[in-house]
Amino acid sequence: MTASLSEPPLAAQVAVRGAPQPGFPVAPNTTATVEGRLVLWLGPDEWLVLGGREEDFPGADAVVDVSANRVAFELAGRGAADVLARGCPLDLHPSAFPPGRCAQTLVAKAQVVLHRPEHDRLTLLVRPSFAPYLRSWLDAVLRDLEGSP
Amino acid sequence: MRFRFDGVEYGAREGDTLAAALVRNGVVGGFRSPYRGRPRGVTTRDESEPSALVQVGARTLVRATLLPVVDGLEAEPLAGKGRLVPAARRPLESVYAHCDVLVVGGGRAGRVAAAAAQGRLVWLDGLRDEPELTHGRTWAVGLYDDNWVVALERERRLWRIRARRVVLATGATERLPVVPDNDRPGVLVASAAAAYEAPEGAVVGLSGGWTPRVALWSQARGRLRWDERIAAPVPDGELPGVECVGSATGAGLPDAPAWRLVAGDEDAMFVDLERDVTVADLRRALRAGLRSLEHVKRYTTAGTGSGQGKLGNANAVLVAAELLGVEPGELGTTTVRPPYVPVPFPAVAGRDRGALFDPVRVTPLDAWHAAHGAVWENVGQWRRPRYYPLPGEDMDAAVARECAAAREGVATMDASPLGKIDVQGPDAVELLNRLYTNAFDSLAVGRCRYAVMCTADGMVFDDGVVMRVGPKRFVCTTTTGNAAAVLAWMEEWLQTEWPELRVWLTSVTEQWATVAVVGPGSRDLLTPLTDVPLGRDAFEFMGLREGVVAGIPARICRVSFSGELAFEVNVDGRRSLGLWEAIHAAGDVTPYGTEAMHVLRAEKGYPIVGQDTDGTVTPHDLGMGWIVSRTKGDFVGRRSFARADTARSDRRQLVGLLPDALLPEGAQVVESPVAARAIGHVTSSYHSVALGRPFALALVSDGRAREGTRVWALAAGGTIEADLVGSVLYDPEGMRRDGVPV
Repeated sequence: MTASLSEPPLAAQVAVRGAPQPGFPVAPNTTATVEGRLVLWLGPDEWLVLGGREEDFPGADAVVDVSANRVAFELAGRGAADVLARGCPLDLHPSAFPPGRCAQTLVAKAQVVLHRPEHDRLTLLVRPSFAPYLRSWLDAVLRDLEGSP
Repeated sequence: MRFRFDGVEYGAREGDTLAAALVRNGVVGGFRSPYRGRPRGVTTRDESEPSALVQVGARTLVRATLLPVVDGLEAEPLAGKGRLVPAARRPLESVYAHCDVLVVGGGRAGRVAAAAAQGRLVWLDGLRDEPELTHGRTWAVGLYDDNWVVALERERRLWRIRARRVVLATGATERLPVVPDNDRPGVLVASAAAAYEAPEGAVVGLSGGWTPRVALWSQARGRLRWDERIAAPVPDGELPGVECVGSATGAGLPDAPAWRLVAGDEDAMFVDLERDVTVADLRRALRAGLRSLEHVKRYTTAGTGSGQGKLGNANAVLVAAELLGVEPGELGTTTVRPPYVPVPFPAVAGRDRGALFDPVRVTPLDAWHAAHGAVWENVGQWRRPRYYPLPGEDMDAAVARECAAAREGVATMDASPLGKIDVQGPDAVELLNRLYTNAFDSLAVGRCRYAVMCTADGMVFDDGVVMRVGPKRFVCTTTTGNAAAVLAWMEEWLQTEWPELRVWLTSVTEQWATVAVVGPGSRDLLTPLTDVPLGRDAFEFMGLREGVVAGIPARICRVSFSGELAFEVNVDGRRSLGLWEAIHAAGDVTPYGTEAMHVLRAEKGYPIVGQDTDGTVTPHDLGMGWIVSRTKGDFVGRRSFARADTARSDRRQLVGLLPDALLPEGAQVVESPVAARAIGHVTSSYHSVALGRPFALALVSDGRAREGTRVWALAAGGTIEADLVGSVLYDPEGMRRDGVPV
């Protein structure tokens, strides 16, 4: 029961701060799709929008293009949560972290934004400087899980 | 199955522990006690075993009672002390788990609890391996706050488990009676003697009663009380979310045998076999006046072995109480601490070893640096080029060449790890005014300002450049190693002290890659690459321009950390390689690393926070009193500048040294070759190509008043004489920052 690892490209990312914009999720650690863009709740006044530009949020208190601030890894397969359990202290059981949920957490020693688009798919957004480290760590865990009882 | 113990081969059956196999083979001895060398043998059949400890390859202090025999096993007896064997081992796993109910123990009470459990169940047992258990042969080694349980599965993986409810069904362990020669090989606790298939007459079983396994309860601050019926401590009171069941509570255990210290050779009546502690030792401790069990434990070492006195601690209480003529319950018990069973260090380390010990952060230009022979320096977690040696060059030669290029031609540095914080909102100016020592109202859009941040005690905390990119928007740079700390510091003040300010902070450290283009030739090199006018009148010092460089949208700052004409070009991190390569293709450009950067800035007397400062240095001490605003309102650190100690004139101040030879960084500075009291210390020391000599920066008491004097620095075995001068050693008039003809 293992998982496959990929690095899907991310087009654009925008940090939106202050009061929630129309359609933005307000429940902690949830996501919503607004005008075709995924919006992740990162804090009471902080959202990450996948797609778009700063100019798209004229009503926000603060908007920052952060397209180069994070890259993505994706774990797909029934063992995806098992892989992360080797380094992520969050409870990723579907009852506690169902599809549509997101969180800011640690995987090994890298800060990540974790998102579960589907039951057997987990996306990790990580600073590019940490990406080689996280990739090595994920590869090591995947290698070990392949051969472990 | 065959195995070897102490060099002799024996047979074993499927499911045997090493202890069971040894006893069946009639090996009831084979071990030695640690300090007195007395013959010892298997004594128990669980984790309380004090004597049958073995080395198996790199694994040390393994209890024979817990070690399953596998075909070909080779075990060496240990006399109470382990042996570290360096060995390349596959990293052990560390796994997080979560559950509604965690049941510790697979005995009768544990089965009942597991059967009744609702929701997600983790059920573990250190001794058993039945398939119903979710985690067989797994020891819960620590129970911490909020039901955080650490468990060791065989020697394979460490579990970190968060449980809503913990049920401790840990059972009880049998102890030896305290009688003369109770440590003799062949003397076992009765339940072990009955369970092992020893040859006729080879072993004798004795029972001193049963001790509930209360270690986890006690670790979690559960209270204990002495139960006279079983003569052992039992759980008392309640712990939120933790429950003790079955014989772990003492319930159902047989009455303890009537207790009285027997007459006999007290030097052969063992209380803690693992530490060779006897009744005679306890008597000696009490005669020395010790009364607290904690003190007796430390005096005698009873209970300090790797088994933490699982077999003997209750006996120690009984003996001490009788010798003192008090009730055992009056003595209390010693405190139990994790881990319940020894945890190998590789299990604690998990995967955090070797290349994965700590993240190595890299910039988008890392591969270019590697391909061009960079020698690395770790700066915080970042990997940065220290210098780029050409064939045959050592560090000194490479750094000299890189410095010369920056001072005479064009040189580039990858400054991407600089921390960058986007500050946005109508109160952005107000926040910056309160956090930095200088004022920002007057900073125009399209301008930069060097800025210093102090802690509340007035000491320099960080420095950087603040760019005003819009009426309500700034980007602040921080020192590389301090980026996360500065953002956290700003958020702390904003969120806890000034929540009314309408301003938002976003880390953009990795959004922007930064390339410093430095040297008198930098303007001519960049001009054909950009639509931004770079002339000295069009683009003033500390100006900020947005435009396109090499086809890439860029934010250019005319700042300088070398004293030379320089442009810091910031672009989207993903496009920085294109920028870097275009710059290098445009002319004779020398890449330089952190070492040359250090030399260049030190020649100009620019301090590096954390190298030339150490949390005891004010802006005034650095000769930067001009950066502390006297006119704006309050800011963090302001009050402290009025304190007598912060305002006195003879504090340690940053000065330059021109020594006769290169000084070691950290060297103490004295007033004469025979002076005993240091007046300061060297903070930075390099050889300067531009000056043609070694130089240093130092923090010296009343340093500015000493300019023009001679001082001495203590170096290995002697002193080095130096002229004490101002801290700006190169181009003190600042003639070069606008460029000179190439």
